[in-house]
Amino acid sequence: MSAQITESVPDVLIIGAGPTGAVAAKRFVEAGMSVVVLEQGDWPDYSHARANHPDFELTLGRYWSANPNRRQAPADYPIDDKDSDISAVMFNAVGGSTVIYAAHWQRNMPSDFRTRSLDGVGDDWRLDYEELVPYYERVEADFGVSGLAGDPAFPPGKGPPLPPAPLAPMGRRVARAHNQLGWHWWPAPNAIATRAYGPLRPCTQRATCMWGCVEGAKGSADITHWPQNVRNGVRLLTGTRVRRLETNSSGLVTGVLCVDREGKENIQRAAVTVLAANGIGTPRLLLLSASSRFPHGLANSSGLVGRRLMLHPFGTVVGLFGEDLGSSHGLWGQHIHCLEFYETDVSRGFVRGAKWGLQPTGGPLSMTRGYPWGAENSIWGACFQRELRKRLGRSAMWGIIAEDLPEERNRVVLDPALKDAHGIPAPKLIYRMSENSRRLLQFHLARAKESLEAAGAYEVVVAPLIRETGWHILGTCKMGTERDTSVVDAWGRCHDVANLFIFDGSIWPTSSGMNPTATIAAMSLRCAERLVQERRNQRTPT
Amino acid sequence: MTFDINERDVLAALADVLIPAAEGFPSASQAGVAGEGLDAVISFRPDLAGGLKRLLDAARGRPAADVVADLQRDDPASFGLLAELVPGAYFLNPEVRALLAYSGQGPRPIDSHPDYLEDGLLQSVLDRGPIYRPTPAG
Repeated sequence: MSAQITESVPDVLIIGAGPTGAVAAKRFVEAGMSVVVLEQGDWPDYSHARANHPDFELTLGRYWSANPNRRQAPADYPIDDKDSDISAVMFNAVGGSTVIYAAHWQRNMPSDFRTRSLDGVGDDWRLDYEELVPYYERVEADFGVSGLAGDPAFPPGKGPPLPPAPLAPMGRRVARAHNQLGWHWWPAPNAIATRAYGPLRPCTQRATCMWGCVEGAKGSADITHWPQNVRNGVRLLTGTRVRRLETNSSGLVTGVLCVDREGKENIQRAAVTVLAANGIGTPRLLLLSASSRFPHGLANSSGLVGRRLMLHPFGTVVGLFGEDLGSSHGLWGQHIHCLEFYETDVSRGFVRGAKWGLQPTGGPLSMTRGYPWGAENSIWGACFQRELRKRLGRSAMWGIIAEDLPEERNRVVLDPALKDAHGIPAPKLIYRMSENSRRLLQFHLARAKESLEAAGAYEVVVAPLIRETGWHILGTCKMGTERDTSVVDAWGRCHDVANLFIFDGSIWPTSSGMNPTATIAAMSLRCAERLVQERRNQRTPT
Repeated sequence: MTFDINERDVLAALADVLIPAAEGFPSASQAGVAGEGLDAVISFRPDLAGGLKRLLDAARGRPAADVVADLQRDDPASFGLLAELVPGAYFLNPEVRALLAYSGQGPRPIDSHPDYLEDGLLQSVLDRGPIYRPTPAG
């Protein structure tokens, strides 16, 4: 069967309708450019959002499961994670993983862009915090971010457009404790609307943010961007999976070979192609696009496509309190964050740090599960109701995002055997948590335990480390100046292919210790802005 | 997939090992976990039915406490299924929800009062000054 070739040649073709693609498409269409977006998933189906129903906790792990290997929806591709300490999690749909993210909207700190200069590890970014600030401010307006200006963990500047969520009883307790300890805390930034804002309705604190927000309060790109993008003329093709990128004799990308949900193959041509398929999907596509001219994969003369995978090891610490904190509800989401131990202190035995976010613990079924409570804290038997009452509404937890440093051995490759539903080779993860990451995480878990004890917790549980925490997939197409040590330049343009760009988290030289969506979105806008400015000089295949 | 009376009896015994009556709460079987609770859970989670059938078949004729202990020790997948289904059904029971004073994940609109300003909480943080390392010059 020969593929049908599209007649139209848009100015820009974007692969992936997650936050990266959403931000870029918005800017391109505002600039008057024609834009086609290919998304392997569909629009999220919020009929599966069950917060108003008694089965909410029972069913949250099905449609909204974060693990594509568990979910196995038509839009998903399998990921071989047998050789990885952490399983990757994502959502393949319009809006991408913002559909199921916790919406912790964290800017990177200035030091995150200068780890080589400051700490002698990783690589400096080709831009600094100050350069990214205007882009942070613009995407924060677009995603409906709530929070409070003046956080002393960041340089002074404008705050997000919406006021912060309440600290809630749990947050006030911990805030008081941190003030006594002299530790940082601040009302947390979230891409969650605390008031009606554009297409977003006010949050009602159901603690269901990751499993279908029934209010439409969470700033996920399927709500904040895509309806408007489509109204403005972006052509969004859902259920369309890319097999490979096509190149011409000049080494430019001419378009992509893709397959629609009926299995029909098309060649979608384009003047410029932007990859926005996340830190696994993007290197997978480049590796799938090997040719005689690009024998090791497209844009891979450095050999770094797929390498330097960073996944942010994740820890959780739960405190049990003697009073009702109302913690079955809240933002999931975060009420306060702590960056006290974010910056490097080499006396701790490791470099770099982690961000903490304080959040509720959910409904009764969540009180019985192995995570976060751990097998050693079994609830079953004669103590069941007593333990249940101790936990439900009376517990709060710190979620800890640990910075992962880049290592070339940690990587995404094509699996030699596993294929997706269209017969396309699946990605395989090869990832081992570094000694630095282990020490870092253990230190932070111990400090978080002290935090909750100081806040009055009579018992603190350090949750077992679990595999399914690979939310933040970063670093697999490194940004840099030299073509032999990086894949893209400071603006996301591939060194090897003049009309191919990567805007997603693949291009991060280091991972920071923050939830990355704020910086992914800001970077996408910055790269898109540059492409718009330089479009007259852009080489294209036509 | 349906469950007969014998299967439900086995489930009731296993469920009561996990959740006996205590603290004024009913046991799992008293809360209908093996009856309408099971039917409701399977309607929401049909993916659990096959595994539960196999588990109940293997458990028939054995002391329930021994079965639960063996599963917990040797078969985490089957124990995980039981540990999801039994409390899942238990918490669907209106009496149990009332005893827990839990009415589900209903709305709790945000109070616009800025509680972070209470008791000088935020001022203490500001008084401690910046904690970030600025972008190095050059």
